[in-house]
Amino acid sequence: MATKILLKMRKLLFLICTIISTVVYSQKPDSLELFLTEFQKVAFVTSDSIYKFTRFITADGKFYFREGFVDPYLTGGELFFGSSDLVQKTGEYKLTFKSGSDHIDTINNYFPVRQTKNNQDLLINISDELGYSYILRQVGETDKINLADNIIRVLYPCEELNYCTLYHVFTIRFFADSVKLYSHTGRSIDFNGIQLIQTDSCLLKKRDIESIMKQMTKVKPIPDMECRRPGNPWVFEYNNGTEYKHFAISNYCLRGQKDLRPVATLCYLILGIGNKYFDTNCSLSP
Amino acid sequence: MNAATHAGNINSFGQFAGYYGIGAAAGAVGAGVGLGVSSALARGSFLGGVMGTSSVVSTGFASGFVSGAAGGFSGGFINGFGNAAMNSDNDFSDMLSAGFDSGWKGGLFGGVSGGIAGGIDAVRHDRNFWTGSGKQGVVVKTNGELIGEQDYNAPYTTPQTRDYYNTQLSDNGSVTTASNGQITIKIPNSVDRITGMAAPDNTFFTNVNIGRNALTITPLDQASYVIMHGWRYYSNPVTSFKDLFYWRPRFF
Repeated sequence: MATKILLKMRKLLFLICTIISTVVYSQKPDSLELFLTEFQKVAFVTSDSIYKFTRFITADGKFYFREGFVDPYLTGGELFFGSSDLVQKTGEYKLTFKSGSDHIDTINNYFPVRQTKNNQDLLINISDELGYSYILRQVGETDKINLADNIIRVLYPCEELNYCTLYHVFTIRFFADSVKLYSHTGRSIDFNGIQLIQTDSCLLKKRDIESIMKQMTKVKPIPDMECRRPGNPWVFEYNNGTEYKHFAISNYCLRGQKDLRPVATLCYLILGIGNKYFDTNCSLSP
Repeated sequence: MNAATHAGNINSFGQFAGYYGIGAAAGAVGAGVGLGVSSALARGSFLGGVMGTSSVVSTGFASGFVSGAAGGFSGGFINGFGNAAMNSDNDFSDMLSAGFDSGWKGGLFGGVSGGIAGGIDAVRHDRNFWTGSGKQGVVVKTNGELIGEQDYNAPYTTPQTRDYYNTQLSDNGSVTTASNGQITIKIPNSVDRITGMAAPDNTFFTNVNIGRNALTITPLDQASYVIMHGWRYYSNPVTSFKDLFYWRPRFF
């Protein structure tokens, strides 16, 4: 008797769960909302070339690039039911595109584009450098690191695996008698793309300088390395007046990469110091 | 706490101080070992975890269980060993025996409670309860092959690659068509949930039904393919031991 009741309860529970987990859409032409994405042509200028891209931005600030000057009208439209990482609000949509501006946006590269073994890797590098040069420009950190500078710069995306709309840039400049930390935060919430929302600077305390320098001694012997995928890589650069180093590493690529651990430790140390001084972290609410 | 639970054995201030000190030491060592193991699992330094200066922290039930068990065993062992040592009738083997007995109980309790705490931490950061891995938006085919949604739209992904992730509605073993024209598409195990579906502009569907195990649509016209969007927890399903352990930067 008890078993029968238990069986009935399990069937009822299963039915309730199935109903709850089912989402139903019916397409009617006049019930479709428009999901608008704006696009703009971009010229990415590096030291040896100019690359053509098209930047797409959705109404809630998610952005991505496609290679070349793409005319989305020619590729055909799409219908969308439900939600995804890009189409966040659940609904029934007709995906539409609109030119944000006829002007070609020129973005200068603030990073070295290194030689790679194949064209696929080169395109990954270039698209990463394009995205991060765009962010640096938008937050005002446009100084390309000169060989004479004594500087550390970290660009950290606040989303590890998906579209990122919040970035932190920390720059540490070493002067003769002091060390200064600069913080910039950029966020994308609409068609305007990445906008600077927070900027600050302060002198670092002696203890923090010492902990950074101590970790730097472990990083110095490590050659430039990249571990970009899977996920969104963060960028760590440093220049001590004699050598420049650049690392592009994603947290999910770090797994199993023992050699990169000192670099990651230093990056997180700087993020922690930034959090301590400016209360910056990745839990910024809209 | 330790002094209170052994109040019946305390006959002098020295004994009170002894029991108190053992409890304090057990608590401190247990906490330190737990934090250290947690940091080590997260690829930080063990000592950094002990000192509370580690910049990464492991997350998820599995990591929490291991660090909780390690801390619980250490603290329990010291507690049992130390308390046995307070009794002058006990020799070293009695102390060891008491230590291990207290240790395994502490390890079990610490493991379960640490695991639950680790799982809750993971969920609070929108990660998998059991492993601590993050959520990834994906485009997936019925045979389980998938690509991150961000990679799908990236400049380095060719139109041919994007087309590869179309789910064909004909000649597909995971797609069945009923006599009334309703199409059922089986959702593969490699994705945790399908949340959306894209279709070419010139197709018309009614009754798009996105369930947990299948997606059903009723096309009014001939439809050749759809594109399934969803999400998965990274490294789901778990295929190796290291897939059980994930970490996150402490301050972010």
